[in-house]
Amino acid sequence: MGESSTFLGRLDCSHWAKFSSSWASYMTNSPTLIVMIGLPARGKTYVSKKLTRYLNWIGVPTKVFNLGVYRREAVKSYKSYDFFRHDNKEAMEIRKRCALVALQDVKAYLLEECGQIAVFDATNTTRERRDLILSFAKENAFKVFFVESVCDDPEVIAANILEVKVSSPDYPERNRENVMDDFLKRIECYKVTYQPLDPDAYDKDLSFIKVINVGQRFLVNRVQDYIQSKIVYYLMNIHVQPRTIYLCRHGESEYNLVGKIGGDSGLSPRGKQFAQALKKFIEEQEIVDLKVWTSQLKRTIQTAESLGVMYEQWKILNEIDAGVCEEMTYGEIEVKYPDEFALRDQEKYLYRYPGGESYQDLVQRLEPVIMELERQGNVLVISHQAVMRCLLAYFLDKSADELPYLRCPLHTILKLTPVAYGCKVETITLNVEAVNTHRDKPCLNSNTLPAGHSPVRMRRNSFMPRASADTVKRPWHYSVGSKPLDLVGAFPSLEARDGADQQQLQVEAQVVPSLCFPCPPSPAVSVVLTGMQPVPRVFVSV
Amino acid sequence: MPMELTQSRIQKIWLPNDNRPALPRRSCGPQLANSPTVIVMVGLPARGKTYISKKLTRYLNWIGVPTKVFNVGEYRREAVKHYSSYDFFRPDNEEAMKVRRQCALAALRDVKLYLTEEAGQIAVFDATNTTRERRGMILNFAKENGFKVFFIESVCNDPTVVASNVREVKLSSPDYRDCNSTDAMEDFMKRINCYQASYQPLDPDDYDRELSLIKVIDVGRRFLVNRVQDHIQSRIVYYLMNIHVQPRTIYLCRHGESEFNLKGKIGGDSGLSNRGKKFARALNKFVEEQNLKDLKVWTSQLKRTIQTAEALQLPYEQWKALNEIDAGVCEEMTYEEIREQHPEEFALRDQDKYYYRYPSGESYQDLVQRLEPVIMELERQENVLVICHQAVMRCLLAYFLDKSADEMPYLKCPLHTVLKLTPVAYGCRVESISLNIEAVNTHRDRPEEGKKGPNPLMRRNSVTPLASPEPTKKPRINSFEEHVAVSSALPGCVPQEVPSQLPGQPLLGKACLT
Repeated sequence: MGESSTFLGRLDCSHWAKFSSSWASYMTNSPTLIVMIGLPARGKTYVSKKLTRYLNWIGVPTKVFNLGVYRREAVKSYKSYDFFRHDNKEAMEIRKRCALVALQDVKAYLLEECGQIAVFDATNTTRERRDLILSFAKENAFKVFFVESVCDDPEVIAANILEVKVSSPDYPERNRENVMDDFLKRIECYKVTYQPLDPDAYDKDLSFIKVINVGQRFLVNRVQDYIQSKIVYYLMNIHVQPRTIYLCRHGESEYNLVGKIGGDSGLSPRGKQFAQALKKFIEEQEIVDLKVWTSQLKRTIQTAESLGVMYEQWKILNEIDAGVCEEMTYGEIEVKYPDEFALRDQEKYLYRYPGGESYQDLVQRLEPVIMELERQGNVLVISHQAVMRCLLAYFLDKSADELPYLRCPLHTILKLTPVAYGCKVETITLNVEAVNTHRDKPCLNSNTLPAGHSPVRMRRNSFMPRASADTVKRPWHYSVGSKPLDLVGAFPSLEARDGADQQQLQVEAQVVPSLCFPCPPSPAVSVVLTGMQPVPRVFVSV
Repeated sequence: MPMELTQSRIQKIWLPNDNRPALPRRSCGPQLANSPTVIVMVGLPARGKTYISKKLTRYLNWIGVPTKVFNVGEYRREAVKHYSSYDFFRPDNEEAMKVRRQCALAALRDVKLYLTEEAGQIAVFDATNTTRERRGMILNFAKENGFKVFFIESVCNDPTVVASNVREVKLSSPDYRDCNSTDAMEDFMKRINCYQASYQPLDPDDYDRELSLIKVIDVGRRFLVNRVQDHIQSRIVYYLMNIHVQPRTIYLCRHGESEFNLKGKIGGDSGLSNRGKKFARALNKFVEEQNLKDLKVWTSQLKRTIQTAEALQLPYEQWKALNEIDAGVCEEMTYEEIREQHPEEFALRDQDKYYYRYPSGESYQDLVQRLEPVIMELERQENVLVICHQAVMRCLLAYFLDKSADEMPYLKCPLHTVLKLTPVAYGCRVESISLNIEAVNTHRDRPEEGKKGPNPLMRRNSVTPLASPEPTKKPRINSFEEHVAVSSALPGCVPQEVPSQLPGQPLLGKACLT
């Protein structure tokens, strides 16, 4: 029996799910292929990416394989919808070949790279294509779960085209109307041959969910296992209404001042000042129906109390439990538990404090918070450093390696706004001084991880064609259907602040490269927007 | 400064000093439902409506949402003492129709009372509700009172499923008390036919497209979900999608006796005592004898459960969520030491054991929240052996036996004893198997002065008609007794299977508990 608090030695990846994350274990008897179905502009890519981000966050290695990317690699320049006509034999041949190449990559991912779930993001609108996928899955003993998005609301479709398709690499230099026109014709091409899933006869034995009119209705058939039930629950909880999530920590606490971790101390005078500044900030934001959530620790509740609004206390938002190290300074821990201190630096995500928690434990504990955040509209979450890192990692699709080192300073608000396939982040410093509680990752370890280790833990929403039909690859940050956007016009809240409060606000804006691969660990992408300057160009890759 | 806070003594929740009303007791999660909800069952007889109603109610109560079932059948049986035949349900029996409508109205009055005056959050209106007219009436009633409505329709056209359901629960119904089963079966099938003619299923494409509903098709093979409105409805949908009706058995036990058990210390992470190791081996033998197909074994992440599981020589899964209640500052102390070092805490815990949170630790209420994913996964699984801890086992047991928050922390879960739970009809049969390895007693009885009468936190799956259509009220049934009586008619439920070596344990003294 092991001595460590987890009773585990080092395990290879096949044991990973089984022991190290009991929660994820049911998910994983055999790998699953999630197959998207639907006409173009039905939100398939949105669902694929979002679901993948969620699954990776809860600890199930998942990757999207977007057929459009393969097709664009095979056929460099897109001319018009002609390519998608069902009677265009040559094009059909190319499209089928792309699908086969993508499936080969799926196979490699699930069998050789410790992937658990592959999301096959394509229209898959014909029975012929789906049967091909089913027999591929059968050969390889993969489970298959279909996600069909059905939407007949022309407004929703048009909005989706405008939001994500216009910026597609297929349409580099065209104006909006042409794009819309071409794209609608492209949809018509698919309509001719579209055979929706038929739960009553032909497809009655398949496992699937039909998402009807953006989540207004769902049809769920033959859910096979834990992970499919989890996926269904998640899809039923997400929505696409515009909203904003604000994340911050409590004001500086008495323990922060003396460098102690954990505990349940109250706010320092500067912490109270932050609480007042937060109140002012919230008022200025003029947010409709803002919900405020806190932990059950004194410092977050004191912070929320000064807002003068209703708030809810969640015990599961409490700070990571440092076990025997609670109420100690890092210096004290290093002296009293030198081994523990060193172990934590080695593997901070998995490291569990004796009698306490790890970041991995924390992610599990926070899953209901994420699910409820997905359901809600505007929310301000006043939490703690480790908790905020976990929440942020979900929204920004950060890997388990990066998660425990994300920067979440005191007295700073992160404003998250969902945009297209990603999430825009603005960092707002309320200019109330506070101690720094961040410990950087010691440089020793990042490169010394065993090679076999990283793929399991990597959280990647992005996909990387391994065996593309073409040898020349596109640069990474252009992957999956978008190009840098000019965000100047997209910061109304910032522009609105031109004036009185400018001097006090330091704003960083960063749009999350949720698909950027590999993500640099430093927040170097962000641009500091100080006081009076006009908002500079912000690099965005969504 | 408005930031001065005081901590409530039982729950350890920080509250502002001013005289604002205290937070509601369940403040450690999302607001589950801001306005009360009426869940309206829809479906022909013998489609599992009552099964779903009771099971869902048990779950919701357990997670802390006060919920009660209102079964119109019971109101009808009260109004019409003697059921003679299906004639009563014929659509052209006008007199009977009137009685039935009155029963529905009486039940709705009780629903209103429960949701507006008795702190109920969710009322489950368990009746066929097969016509648009009846559903329209319920919708109006809900609108008048500001209740949300969520429909659960159970559709099943598989005759074998229907027949087995009739056999399992309908033949033992009070309606057929004096009737042989063939006649009862025949009568019930005719009763179903009476409804069939007027049945208007929910129509999510057109007539009912604005309603919030779930259609459960063929016992969970397929689901149609429309317009889920809020958190609680989404939880309900998730729950319904995870339960199944396959026969299976759940075994609950604690780890073998630990070194800390011997010393009377709570918490910690000690290994097994010699007797504990003996239990582990006996458990191995017991599991082998049970000869189970695909048994899954779950443990906590504490040494004593893992040592116990290791002896089984089966693959097992470790759940951190199954770890023992965190006693915070009292970890690794004996009750005596706690009484000496934290006399006030010691007394507070006796006052309200379910809500009491150890300083920097957990309460039973916290534990229930932490265990919710375990319950959900248990519902999904078939045969499972859960090797856990005293407080954890109490929470799990309370779920299966529908015990109130008040009773939960005092349920008897002795060491070296396996509880075998088998779902039957609307409830769960419990057998208690002592493996006859001695162990210390870790149970502390409820202190005498702490014994309280029923409080609003009581978890009750049963229905107690409050305003029956008749002036003479049924005696407030001790639901418990009644269900025992009903279920004793079940074939699978043989009282002598229960070993009697647990005297003084009301929970386990009876064969069938629902």
